[in-house]
Amino acid sequence: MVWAAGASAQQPDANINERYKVESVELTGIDHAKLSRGLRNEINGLIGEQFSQQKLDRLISRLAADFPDYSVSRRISRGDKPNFIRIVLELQRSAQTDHFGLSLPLGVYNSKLGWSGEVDGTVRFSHSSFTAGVLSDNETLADRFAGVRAVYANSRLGTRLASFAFELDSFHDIWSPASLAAAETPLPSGEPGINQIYRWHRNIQPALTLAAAGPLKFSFGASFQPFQLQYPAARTEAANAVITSLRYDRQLETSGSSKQRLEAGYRLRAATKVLGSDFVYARHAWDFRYVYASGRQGFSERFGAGAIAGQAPIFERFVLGTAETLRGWTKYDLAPLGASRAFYNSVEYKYRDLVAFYDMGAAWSRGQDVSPKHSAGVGVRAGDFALLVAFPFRAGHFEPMFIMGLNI
Amino acid sequence: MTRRYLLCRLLPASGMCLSTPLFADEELDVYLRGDRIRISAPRLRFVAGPPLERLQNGAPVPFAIQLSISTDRWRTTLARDIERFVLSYDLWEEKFSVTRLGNPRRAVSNLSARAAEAWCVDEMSLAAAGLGDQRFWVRLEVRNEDRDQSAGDAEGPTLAHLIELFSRRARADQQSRWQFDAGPLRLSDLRKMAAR
Repeated sequence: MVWAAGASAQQPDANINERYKVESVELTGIDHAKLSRGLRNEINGLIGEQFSQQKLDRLISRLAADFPDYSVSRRISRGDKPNFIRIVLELQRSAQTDHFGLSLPLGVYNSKLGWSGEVDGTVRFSHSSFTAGVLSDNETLADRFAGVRAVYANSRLGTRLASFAFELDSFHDIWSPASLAAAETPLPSGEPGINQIYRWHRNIQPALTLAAAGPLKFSFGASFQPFQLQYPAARTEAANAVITSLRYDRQLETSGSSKQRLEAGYRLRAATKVLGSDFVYARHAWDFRYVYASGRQGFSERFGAGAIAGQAPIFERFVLGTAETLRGWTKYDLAPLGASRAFYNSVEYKYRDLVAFYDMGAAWSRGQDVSPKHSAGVGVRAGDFALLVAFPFRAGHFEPMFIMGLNI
Repeated sequence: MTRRYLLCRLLPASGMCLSTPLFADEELDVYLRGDRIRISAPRLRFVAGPPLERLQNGAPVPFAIQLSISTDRWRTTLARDIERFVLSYDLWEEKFSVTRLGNPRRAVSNLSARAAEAWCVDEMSLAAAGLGDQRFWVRLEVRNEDRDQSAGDAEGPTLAHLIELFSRRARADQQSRWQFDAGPLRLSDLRKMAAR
C-alpha cells in the first residue's frame, strides 16, 4: 500500500511544513566519511531551501539504498530562526540485523584445491555481537585448516569512534603431500622444514579499533598463537605478536550511476619474546583495491604485497594461487609452504554479469629468484556469486582452473 | 430503555461501562443530512500515540477511513465510502493540517487534533437511497499505515488497494486501527440535519 511514502511523494503540499525553510540537516548514527559526494551534495542542497517532503523522501530512499543494514528515521523540529526547520536523520542498524543472523563469509569451490567454506552464526544485542562459526579452509594458508571460530565484538566502546573485538580460533591442520614433500626438501637457512609442520594451531586475539580520521581506521592488539609441532616429536610452541593495522575505506563519489570505491590497508604482526613467543619476526602486509562501476560496466584493480623479516611459523607465510590471487595457479605450484615475500596484482573488467581478468604475482623466499607468474580468465559474477575459469600462462600444457563461490 | 441503559444500571461501576468495547456501537452517532447518511464519532482518537509522535516529528501521516453499511449484520457489505487523508503538524503554529486526497482534493489547516479527526469523519458519507425501511448497520474504520508497508508501490492507491487494506485482519498494534459500529438502525429513526 502507498501511504506515507506514496502520499507525500505524490502530494507535494500534504506536509504543512513545506511553507518553512530548512535551517540544518543533521545525520547521526553513521560515519560521515562513508557518505558519497553525491549524497553529501544532496544533503547540503536542502539547507537554506524551502522544505520539500518529496526531496526529503528521495534523500531517505537514497540513504536506505546506500546503507542497507540501517533503518533511517527522521525528526523535524523548529529551527532557531522563526519559520525555519531543522531536520535530523538517524541511521540505526535495522532490527533485522539486531538479533540473529547466519552468514557464509567463505564458500568456494576450486577445481584444484577443493571446497572451502565457513558458516557463521551471529547474535547481536545493542552494540555487541557474538559470532561463532565452523570452517574448513584450503585457500588462506599453506595447509588446509578446519575448526571453530568465536568472536565477541563491541562496535561502540564508550564512543562510536572505538570498537573492540576478541577472537578465539581453534584449528586442526591437514597437509597436502606436496607441502610435506617440500618440507622434506633441504631449504636455505631460515626457511621452514619438516620440523615446522604443525598438527593444530590456535589464536587468541584481542584488538581495539579506533576511527582515526574520516575513513581511516587504526587497530592494535595482540595475537597469541600456540601450535603443536609434529616432528620430530609432538611439542607446543607459540607465536605471540603485537598486531596493528591501518585501514582506509572510502566510497569516492556517486554521481548518477557511477560509483568508485577505494580501500587500502597495512597490517603488521610483530612477534616478540616479551610476549613469550618462541618465534621473533615482523610480518608486513599491504593491500589496495579500487573499484569503479558505471552503468553496466565496471573495473577493479587489486594489489597486495607482503614481507616477513625473521623466522615465522608457516601459518604466517604468504600464499598465492587461490580463488582470489593469481587465479589459475595453485599454492602448491608456487610455494607449497608459503613464502616470506609475495606480491600480486589483479585487474578485472566487468560488463553486466560477465567478467574478464588478468592476474600476476610472485611468491618467493629469501635466497630464491623472483619468478612472476601470470594468468587470465573469464566468468560470470551475479551479486555475491561468481563462476570463473582461469588459465595459467605456462609453457608446455594447458590446464584451466574452475572457481565457483561466494564473496570471491 | 436501551441495552446500554440497562447494563449501566445493572453494573456497579457505570464509568467502566463507558470504556468497555461492549458499548462501542453507541459511540457512533449516525444521522441524515439531505439524502446521505453521515456520522460523527466524538470518542474516536486516532491522532494519538505513535501517529501523533510522528506528526510532531514533522512527518506527514496518512490515514484511510472507510464508512460502510450492511443490511445483514456484516455477512455482506451493501455500500462503502473510502477516503484517504494525510495529516501533518505545523511545527511553528502547533496546529494540524489535513488534506483529503482524491478528487476533489480538499485541505484545511490550523486545526486542533480533535478538530482534525472530526473533519476527516465529517467528510465521510453514504447514499441513503435504496435502504427503505429495512434495518441496517453502520461501521466506521480508520487505518493508519506506516511507511514500511508503503514501500514498493509507486503507482498510488487504487480502490482495490483500499478494499484490501480494510479486509486485512486487525493487527496486534491496535494503535493503527480503530473501528466503531452502530446498529441496527432504520432511516426513519435517524436524526435529520439540514443540508449545507
